[in-house]
Amino acid sequence: MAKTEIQTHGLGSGPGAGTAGDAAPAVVLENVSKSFGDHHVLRGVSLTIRRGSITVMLGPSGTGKSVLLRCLVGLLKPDTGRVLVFGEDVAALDETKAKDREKLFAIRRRFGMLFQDGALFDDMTVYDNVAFPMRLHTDLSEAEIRERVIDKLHRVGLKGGEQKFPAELSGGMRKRVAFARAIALEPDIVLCDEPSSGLDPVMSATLDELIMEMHRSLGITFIIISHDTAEAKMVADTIGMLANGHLVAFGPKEEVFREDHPAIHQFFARETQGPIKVV
Amino acid sequence: MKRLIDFLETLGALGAFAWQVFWSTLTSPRYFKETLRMMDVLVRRCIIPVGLAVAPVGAVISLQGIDVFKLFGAERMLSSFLGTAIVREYSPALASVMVAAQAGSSIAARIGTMKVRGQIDALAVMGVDPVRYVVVPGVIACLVVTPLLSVITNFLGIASGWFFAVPIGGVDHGAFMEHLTAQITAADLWVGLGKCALFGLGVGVIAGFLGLRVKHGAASVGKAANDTVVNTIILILLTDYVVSMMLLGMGL
Amino acid sequence: MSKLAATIDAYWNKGLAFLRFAAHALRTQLTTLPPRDAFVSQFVDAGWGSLGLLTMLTIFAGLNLSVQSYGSFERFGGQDLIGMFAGIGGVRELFPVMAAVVCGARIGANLAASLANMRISEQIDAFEVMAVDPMRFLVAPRLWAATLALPLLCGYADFIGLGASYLGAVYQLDLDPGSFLTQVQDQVRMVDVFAGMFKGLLMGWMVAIIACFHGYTVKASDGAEGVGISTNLAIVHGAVLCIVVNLLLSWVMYG
Repeated sequence: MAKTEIQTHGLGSGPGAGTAGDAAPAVVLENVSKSFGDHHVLRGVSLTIRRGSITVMLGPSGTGKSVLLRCLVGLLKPDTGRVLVFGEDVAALDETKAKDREKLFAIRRRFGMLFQDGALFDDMTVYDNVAFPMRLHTDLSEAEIRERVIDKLHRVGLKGGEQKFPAELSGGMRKRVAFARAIALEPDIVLCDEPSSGLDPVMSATLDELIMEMHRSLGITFIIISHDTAEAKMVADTIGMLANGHLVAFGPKEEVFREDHPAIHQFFARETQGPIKVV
Repeated sequence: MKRLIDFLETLGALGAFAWQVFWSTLTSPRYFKETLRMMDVLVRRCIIPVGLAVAPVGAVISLQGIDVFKLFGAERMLSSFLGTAIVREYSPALASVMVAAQAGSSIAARIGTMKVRGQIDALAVMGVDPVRYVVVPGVIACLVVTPLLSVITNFLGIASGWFFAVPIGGVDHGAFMEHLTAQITAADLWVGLGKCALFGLGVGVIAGFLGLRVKHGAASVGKAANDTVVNTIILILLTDYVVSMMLLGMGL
Repeated sequence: MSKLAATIDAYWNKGLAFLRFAAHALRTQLTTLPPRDAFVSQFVDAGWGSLGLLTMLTIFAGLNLSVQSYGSFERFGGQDLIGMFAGIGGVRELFPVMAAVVCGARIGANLAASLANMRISEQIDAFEVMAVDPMRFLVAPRLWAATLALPLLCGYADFIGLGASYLGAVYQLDLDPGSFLTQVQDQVRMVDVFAGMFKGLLMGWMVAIIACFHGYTVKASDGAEGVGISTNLAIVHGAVLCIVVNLLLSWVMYG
């Protein structure tokens, strides 16, 4: 299912790209825990994410979905446990050390991330936002970059308006530009932080279709955190459920639904009583 | 041309706002508790930065002045220059600049944050006039606190000046003290305090005005805090100059 | 008592975090070239953007220096010494310090607000995820811009301020222009201007590193409030530091 050619990026792959264990699963978490003061956000989460899958992590707000995502790219460091990305332990890398930082950056080049509110750079145009990672990480000429930027923008359904600034765009447009930026380097894994938040149902369905389209055409592995059950039903092939810091369910979508796990049931049926407690 | 019109428009809006604040203080409802709370907050927050900013000025005046006065064999006069310069000019101006930096920017940022989060609208919907509840206490607190702080900084400035003149510069302690008080008149003290009250008023009104003009987005909150400091410093220096000229004309 | 200990502990940790940040930033600043475009736009913003404000303020400060010192000197018959006073007090101290405090406040507030805004809207995280070092791309150009702009502003302020003092002394106070200029020539050396610019260099870096620290370390969850708080802290800490550092430098240079 995973297209191994893709992993060499096609675009000036940085050091480390395609080196660390190409046969390894995309992501393996081993007993990952993280707390902020007395607040235990993750309590020993272990999971494996296959290459070329679309995984949706569900769970109520404030249950560490976002923390989990951040641990994958080393924006946060777990207190204990290992975070293996293509076989390399991200959690063991010390960002203050130059050598580890190199390694971390090499791993990050294989990621794209769609932030919750887009996180587009305010002082750059739409065009420059999408071109930014290409300018920094590839030796492409400006003409080649232009071709690729336009291609990526077309893929997310944007034609024209490249010279607009993020402040001039609607919420849905901003997310699509952010999506184009996330796939600019044709990464191996794209992380999506609440892709449907703040969007109307039609716009979020459009975004979901985009995710599936990118998955089909570019072979990207998607890890999506969301509390939108409709989205999970539509795009996921693997579903995970986080509650109170524990991974209470994880597996192929059909299996998870067939098992009818109480937390999953409660979440999808929008019931107030069940294993998920409202604090 | 358009910028000039914008500027005049803003100035007009500021004038109208100042009038609204003035009118709100004269009429009820008034929020005394909120006003006292603001004063408390301002004194706690400003006293250290204001002290740290004014004390070195006395020291620098002594440090640079002592050689100049020695040239003319008049180092006894250093203290009288130090006294008037601190009490009349530097203590009020710098205390006010630091109140603008600390209190002004934080008041503007606080009001701006409330605006961004919709809390200002929430107050209005609950029938509480935001100007009365949020702006007026800040203005009154600045008006009262700035002169108070300046009294403290007068002592600090002179004490640090003394330290650099007497133990370090070798000026006679007796001569220093004698000339220090000989030249400071009651008018100097009142002029200093009056200027502080005026500057404090300016800080409070501008901070409230710019804070409420925040439209949306976190970036504009930072801009409001920044603009408050820049604009009040301009106001302080400009007023200081006009007041100095007037006093010179009156022979005070 | 335990509350006091907790406060001290919090300040201590904050101080340590600042030192770590400053060391990291300085290392990045000195070992890598900042991206040119980012540096140029920051430099123009810090330098050119402060020029109008600084010009206006130094004119008033210069005029004020003459008018106010006249009031003080007149009491013991020293009104003819204003040229010397404006030369020493203005060029060595008042004009460069004022440039540093006011432009420092403006520049620092801008740096803190922009970085804090980028932090809360996850733009800094986006840099990290794209494997771009934010220290190099965001912090270093800002540090260089402020460090290089402030000395130029301090030097500029010396000339404008002295000019304004002259105008104030000659046209408003009717003092003898020749005597004013002779006193300035006798007392002020080019070295004094360079000393002021050197102060500007140090203060520029300090103001910028403090502002970047406050902006960069804002918590994303603090939202708009965090932007306001970091801006406020950048202004206050920068201004106090400029004045205190100026005293120490003057003490070393002239004491």
